[in-house]
Amino acid sequence: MKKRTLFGIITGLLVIVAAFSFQSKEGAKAAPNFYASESKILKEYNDVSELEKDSELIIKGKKLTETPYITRDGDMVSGFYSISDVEVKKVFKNANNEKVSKDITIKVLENGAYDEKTNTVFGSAGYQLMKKNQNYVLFLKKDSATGRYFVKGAVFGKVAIDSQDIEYGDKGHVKQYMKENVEKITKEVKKKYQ
Amino acid sequence: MKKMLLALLVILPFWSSNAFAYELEGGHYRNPTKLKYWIDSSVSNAGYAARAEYGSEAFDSSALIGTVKTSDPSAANYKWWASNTNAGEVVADTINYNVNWLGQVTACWSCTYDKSQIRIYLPSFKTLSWVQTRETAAHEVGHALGLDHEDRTKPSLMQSEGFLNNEYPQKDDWNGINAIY
Repeated sequence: MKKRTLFGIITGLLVIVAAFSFQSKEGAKAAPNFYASESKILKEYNDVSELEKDSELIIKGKKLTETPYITRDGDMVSGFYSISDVEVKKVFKNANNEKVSKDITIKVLENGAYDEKTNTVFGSAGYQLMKKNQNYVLFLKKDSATGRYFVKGAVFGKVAIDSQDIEYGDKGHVKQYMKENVEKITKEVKKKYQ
Repeated sequence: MKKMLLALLVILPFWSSNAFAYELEGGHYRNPTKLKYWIDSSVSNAGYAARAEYGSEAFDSSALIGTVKTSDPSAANYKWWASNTNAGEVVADTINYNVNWLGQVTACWSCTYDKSQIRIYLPSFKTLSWVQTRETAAHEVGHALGLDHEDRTKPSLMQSEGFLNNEYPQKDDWNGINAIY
C-alpha cells in the first residue's frame, strides 16, 4: 500500500512537471509582447504634406525580410533596430535621383526589433515593425554613410496600405495626440497613394 | 457671493489644467533618493560623459530625488550608452526595467523601476546644440523617473518633438515629479 502511494505521488509529480514543461514551450509560441521605448524625436508630423516636403524618397514597397540588431546588457535590452529589405513597387518622389525603381530592393532601417529571447517587439516611440509580404507607402531619407534609408519622423513616415490597422504603439502605451496624427496621415496616404 | 462663485468657475479649469498638465508613465523608481548612474566608454569616447552626468543629476535639486555616479555597472540604476548607428530621427531612447526578487528583469512602464537603459544615437545627437544635448539627457532621465511626454502644456522638458532650448526641468516637470514621489 505504501509503495503504491509513493508510486502515485511520484507519478503525479512527473505529470505536473511535464505539464509545466509543455506549457512553457507553448508559451514561447504566443504572440509577442510589445514595448514602446521612450524616444526623443527630431521631427514629428501633423499631415502628409509636411512629410512629402521633408522626404527625399517616397515609395510604395513590399517588405521582404528583416534582420534585428539587439544590444544587450545582461538580460536587458539596451539598444535595438532592424534592417529590412523592401521591394520597390512604385516611386512617387525621388528628389536626389537615386537609382531606385520598380523591383529594386532597398534597405530600410526600422526603429524597432523583435527580441526572440524575451518574445518582445521593441519599438522606439511606439514604432511597430512592418509586416513581411505587406505593402507600405514609405517616406524616407537616405543615410549617406551606409546607403540605407530611414523612416521620416520614426513612426509617421510608414503607412500600411494592405490592412485597416493603424500600426503604431500598443493598447497599453499610446500617445493619444501622436495616434491621432498617425491616423490622419494614414487616411491621407491611402486616399492619395493607394 | 454669486460673483465669487462665477469667478471660481472661470478660474477652476485653468488652475486644474496647469496643476495636472504633466503626463506620467504610471510607474516609479523603487529607491528615488539613492539612485546611481554609470556611463559606458562609448559615451565618454564620444565626448558626451558630461551630458550624461548633467542629465542624471538634473532632478537632484528636489529633495525627492538623489543621484550619484558609480564606476560599478552592476550597481547602477541608470546606464548610459552611445551608438554610432544612424537611427534616423530618433535622438535617444530609454527602456525601464523592473527586477524581481529572483533577479529576473521585465521591461515595463507601469511598474516599479530598478534599472533604466539610456542610449543616445550619435549621428543625430551630434547635430544638436550644446544646450539641446543637455536638454535631451535630462529629458531621458525624466522618462527614467516616470515622466511621460507632454506636448500640450509648454514649457516642459518632456516635450517629445523638438527642443525647449533650456536644459532645466520646468514647473510642469516638477509637478510631475512631486506627483510621482
